[in-house]
Amino acid sequence: MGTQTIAASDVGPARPAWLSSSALRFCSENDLRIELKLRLSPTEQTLVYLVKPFGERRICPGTDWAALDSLARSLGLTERLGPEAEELVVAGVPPSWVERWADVRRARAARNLLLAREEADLLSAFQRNGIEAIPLKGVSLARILYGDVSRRPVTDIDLAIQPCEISRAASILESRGYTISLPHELLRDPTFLHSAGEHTAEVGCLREQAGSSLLVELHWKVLPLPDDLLWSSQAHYEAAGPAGLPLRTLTPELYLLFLCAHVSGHGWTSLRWICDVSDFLLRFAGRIDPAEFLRHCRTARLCHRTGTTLELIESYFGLRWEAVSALRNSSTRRTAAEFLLRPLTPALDISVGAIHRERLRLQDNPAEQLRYLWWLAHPTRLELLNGRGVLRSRTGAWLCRATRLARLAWNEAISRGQLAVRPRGSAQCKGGVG
Amino acid sequence: MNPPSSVRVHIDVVSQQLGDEVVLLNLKTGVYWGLNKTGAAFWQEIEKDGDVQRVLAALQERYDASEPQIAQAVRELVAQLLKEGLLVVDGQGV
Repeated sequence: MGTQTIAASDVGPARPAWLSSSALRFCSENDLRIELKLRLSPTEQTLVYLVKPFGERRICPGTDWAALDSLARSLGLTERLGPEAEELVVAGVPPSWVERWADVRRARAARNLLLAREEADLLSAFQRNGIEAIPLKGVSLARILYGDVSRRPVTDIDLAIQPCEISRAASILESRGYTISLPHELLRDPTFLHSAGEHTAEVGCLREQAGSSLLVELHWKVLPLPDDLLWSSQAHYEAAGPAGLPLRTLTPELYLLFLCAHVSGHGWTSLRWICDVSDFLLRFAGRIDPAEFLRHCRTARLCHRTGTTLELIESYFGLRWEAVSALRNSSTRRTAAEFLLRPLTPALDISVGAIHRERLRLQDNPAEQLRYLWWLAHPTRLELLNGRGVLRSRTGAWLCRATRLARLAWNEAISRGQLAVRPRGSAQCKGGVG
Repeated sequence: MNPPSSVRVHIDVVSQQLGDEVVLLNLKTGVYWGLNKTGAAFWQEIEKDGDVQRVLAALQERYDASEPQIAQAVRELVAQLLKEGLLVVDGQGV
């Protein structure tokens, strides 16, 4: 079972001497983990072969193309099927499907061009007003990874803004015709800004343009790291797209960590985010300092989740990053194996309760689990605002939060069959279920 | 009808190369078009330099067709792109 070791410099920009240990190892097909071969249907396995970031495209006998198309759409992977049309036809994909995916990509290109231009305009507007903004994910990631905005499905524009500037940034969006989902009173409230975790520290801004909706999310916390580290550690990337200007965003170490945190935050349920991490590794391995990456992982307490992500990347695509093998252990292998037991499930099918349970389980240690529970107990925007969008008192918000969590736990218990609801006219039962 | 001597991409139009093709999007209307391989070659040249004669010369170097054939194709494409508002005659606003 031959394995091929490719130095990072072969797959990314020139590798400096101090990165001598950051080789990426590509396993041959025979080295792919046995779990993957056992758990995926022929159609799922073909999809994995077609979207993998490198290597030969293969078709498994018995592939159902309509089912593959449907699965690819639900996982947001269709855009990855389009680029190498000729290669796909040679591999044996029916040409009618290749043409269909090319159409999807053309439409995606148009949509993403709109988002790319808007993102560039917003970054300019913020710069003119002295507000620093970091573009994340979305079209900016497509631009730095592929030099092509059509390669990723994108629904919105994600910009990180410093907490103290979030209200002013939202005002700029309002002046451009956006409707903001949270009142400025809340966006200026240090307690609220501070209490939000990296999964909830965002405000959505919406506007209509050219017959479609533009959604911009302003994030004021993107990683569980000190703000000053985030805002002082940025790098320039060559990027195609509007004006072809270099893009300034997180350093490769922080960006990779951000992507790992993002995919784990969604419970690794979408293969496309795992593809993002793989592509980022392949593209920027030569610029990543493994020691610094490990340091960030530990500070952010994301070791287990990052290690699991790397396990999954190896399982799906045979890509191994030896330099950070310290992140991987029997525990990350066990967690990854659990995910490989599940079919490829689109993220939208996961309930809120299940996401929290999963995140709680995946914390680095019991102390972190307690910290997560404490954070979970805090009122969110859903409780801080009443139905009319006006701020509640702190006590009221805490009470609402407690009620919501109790109801969530109750519903979860019922849906898992741990509680049987008997229709006896009990007000308590009726209230709880409702 | 002769094409204008110089054209340029409308300020509201953005493009993306997709393999051999190009996708053009009008940001104002949200309508998009695709250009095939030869259309994409024309677009690349027009983005570099809006001088139609120079674009014509560049395409003649790239393609084996006769000069009148290429000139005719360019005339038609320029007219169509002007009609759809994807190109504007140089010096005419936007």
